[in-house]
Amino acid sequence: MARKHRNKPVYVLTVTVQRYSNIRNSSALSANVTVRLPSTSIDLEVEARRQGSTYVLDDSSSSESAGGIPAAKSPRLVQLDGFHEATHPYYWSPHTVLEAEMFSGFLRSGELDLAVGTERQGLATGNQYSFLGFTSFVRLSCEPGTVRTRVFEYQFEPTADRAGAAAFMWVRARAHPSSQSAVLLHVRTQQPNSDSGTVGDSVTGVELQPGVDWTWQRVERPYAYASSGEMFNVGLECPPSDQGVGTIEVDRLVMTPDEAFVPV
Amino acid sequence: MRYSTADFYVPTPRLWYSGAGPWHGINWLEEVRRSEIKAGDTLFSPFVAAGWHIAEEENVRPAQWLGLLKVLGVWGAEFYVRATSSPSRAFRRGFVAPPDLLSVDLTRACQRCRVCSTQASSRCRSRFRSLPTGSGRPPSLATHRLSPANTPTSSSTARQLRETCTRPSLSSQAARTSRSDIAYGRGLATGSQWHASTATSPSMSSQ
Repeated sequence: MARKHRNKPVYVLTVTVQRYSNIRNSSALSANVTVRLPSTSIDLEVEARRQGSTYVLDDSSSSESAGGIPAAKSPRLVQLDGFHEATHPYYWSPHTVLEAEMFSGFLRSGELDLAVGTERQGLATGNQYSFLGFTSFVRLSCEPGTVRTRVFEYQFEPTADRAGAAAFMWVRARAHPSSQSAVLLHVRTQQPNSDSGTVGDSVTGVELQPGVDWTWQRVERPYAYASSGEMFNVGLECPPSDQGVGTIEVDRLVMTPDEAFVPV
Repeated sequence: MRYSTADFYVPTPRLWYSGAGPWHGINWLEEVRRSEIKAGDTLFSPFVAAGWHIAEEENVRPAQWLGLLKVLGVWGAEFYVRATSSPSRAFRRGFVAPPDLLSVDLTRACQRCRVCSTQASSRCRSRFRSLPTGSGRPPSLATHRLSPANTPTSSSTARQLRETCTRPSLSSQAARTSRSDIAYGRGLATGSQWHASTATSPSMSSQ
């Protein structure tokens, strides 16, 4: 099911694998589907899941750039509900997954922010709109001469049973393939301090080596979940100009109470 | 813009598309939304239910239900209203609490009676009988069960209880949140309280 923005080539679509019985294995959990977008001849290829997969497709062509880096070529696709699982929610992963491309305001003005990019494994079918196996990410430009003050912000509310518990953060990121040297990503967190009643600000650097594809890196700083009802704020930003330059691409962040957990 | 509140009641997986009678599947809603959107009603808030069977495996299971609700979201559903009730045996007999009595301890007892067993139903009935006429808090369940006066003894008493329990009351929030139940001549309960009794799941995770 797809709908188009009233005056922009931006679509939201949901695809789902439905079944007629609750008998185990009566239907597949996922399938690759082709969707004809409304009023176009575009055949979009994406993955459908039993629990539904909701995507935003931005097909606008733009020559604008995001902080000195040419904007990702259209079309770009973002999945909004990747963390939904096919089981009862009680059994869902206890780890909090934040898709980096879904920062606060990433869909402002009815289109994807220019910092959002999409990478595809390959166009095996020759279809430009084939998104079978894709990665969407946010691009943070920290090149000389660019505006380095932009912060990508994320918020989530921990469950009450985790209030005050230790938390560990992982980041899936890489240096831009054109980078010649290591680049530094700053992860900023804001946490309320229940003792003093203030909000604490902390910044931790994550070093990304050039020529290395997507890797999970642990943010070497212990965190604590906020109190019940309070938001946990995370920000991604450039380091100060004297600490490094380069372009960073971030795919995902994970917060977990499990110290031994390693995302894959 | 008129703001429709269509119903999407899929009591079992095999009816997710076609539906049956009053159980509207997605095919019916697709036709409805097609004409509504064409008329300018781009948003709506459907009443939804994934089934009311006591045996959870007869209802639409969470993943399939999630997929269906996402489709409704693309059609313009701003939010969903749970139309959750129970056609269980106790419910069919008409032991339904008037919304103004659904408070404090009584709520929990009556939720059990609609979902679980006849024994729980009798607790519910007897508790109604002991309610003060004013707005006071009902006695605790343990105290109540120990009192011999709280055992229904005659058919006339049972009839009185039934009349009390099925007395319609449209003045509360329940009338707004479960209007579909009214349409089908069923009883009332506030959505949140009612859902808590029929769901078998513990609390959900933050994700």
